[in-house]
Amino acid sequence: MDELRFVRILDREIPLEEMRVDEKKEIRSYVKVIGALKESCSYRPSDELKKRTVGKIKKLKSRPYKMLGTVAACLVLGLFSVSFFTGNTILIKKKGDLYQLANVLGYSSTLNERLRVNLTVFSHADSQMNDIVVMEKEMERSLGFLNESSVNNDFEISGINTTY
Amino acid sequence: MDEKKLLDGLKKKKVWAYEVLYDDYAPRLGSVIKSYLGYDDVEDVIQEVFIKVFKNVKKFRGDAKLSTWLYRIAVNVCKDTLAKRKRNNEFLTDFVESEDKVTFEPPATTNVFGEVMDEISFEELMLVVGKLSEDDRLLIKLRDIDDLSYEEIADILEKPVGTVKSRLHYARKRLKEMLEEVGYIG
Repeated sequence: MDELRFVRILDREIPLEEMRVDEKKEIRSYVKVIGALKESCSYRPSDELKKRTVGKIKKLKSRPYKMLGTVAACLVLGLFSVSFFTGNTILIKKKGDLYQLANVLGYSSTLNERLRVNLTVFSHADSQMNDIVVMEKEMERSLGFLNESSVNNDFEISGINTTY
Repeated sequence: MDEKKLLDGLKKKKVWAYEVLYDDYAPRLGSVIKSYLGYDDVEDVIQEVFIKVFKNVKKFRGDAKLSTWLYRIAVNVCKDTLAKRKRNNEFLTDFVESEDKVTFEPPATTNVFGEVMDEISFEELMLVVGKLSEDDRLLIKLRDIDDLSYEEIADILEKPVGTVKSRLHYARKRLKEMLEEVGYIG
């Protein structure tokens, strides 16, 4: 049979009455194969698959709420920890150059005493000035004897650097 | 059930709507998937299709029929599965030489099946069908078995109607030739 005619018959463009006997036979055979193919492709989904599929959809449905809950819980926990840590902070100050120098010279305890006494409000420049003055005074007090005549300074200076 | 009401339920993510959708469409979709992929992966693909429906139902504007949209999703998931399968096969053939044969579950014995089987064995028929490409099988399934119009098939496959007609023509021709080879049509 002509291919085009075969397709036209299958598409029901040619009525049954117009078909020849040999064509009818050929089409009948083809339709039977299609019927068998239909049978072999038929599918009956199981109830178990339905349960699984619907269960998965339920899970997907509740996922945004679960995520929202998790985010809310994280926020609450975050806020709680921020408020806890801000209320319970130990301020650790880094020691400056003055403290290091005082430590080298072995005056740290005395210096702390003085600094505590001098904790008044200064502008930044003033406080820097103040530090330098204190430092100079301390240097002079501890090493001032070096300015004296060499006759009086007839001794050897030895020291240990404690910063290393 | 009314399609509009069902679609409304699906868009509102009502579980009952998905249960109804499953009852109404899972057999048809399963059949298309089975004709395209063979017996393997049918359940996984059905599940994947329903998950895709759940995720994308809001994008469905209702221009096409719900069934057409579902078929389209199923065909796309099948194509993805097939691509994955081919990738895996390519990997496996490095070790074992094997042919990618489509396996069909033996059907229930019915009159139609029995009539055909008088003249051609099930194995022979499946061999013939297995020789067709996935696309040929899908086209024959959609047109000659599910009786969908060319426009619906074109919509499902996202191809022009002319292309669908021409491809189906060649698919039928190939099937007919194969049946002639085994002496079923002469």
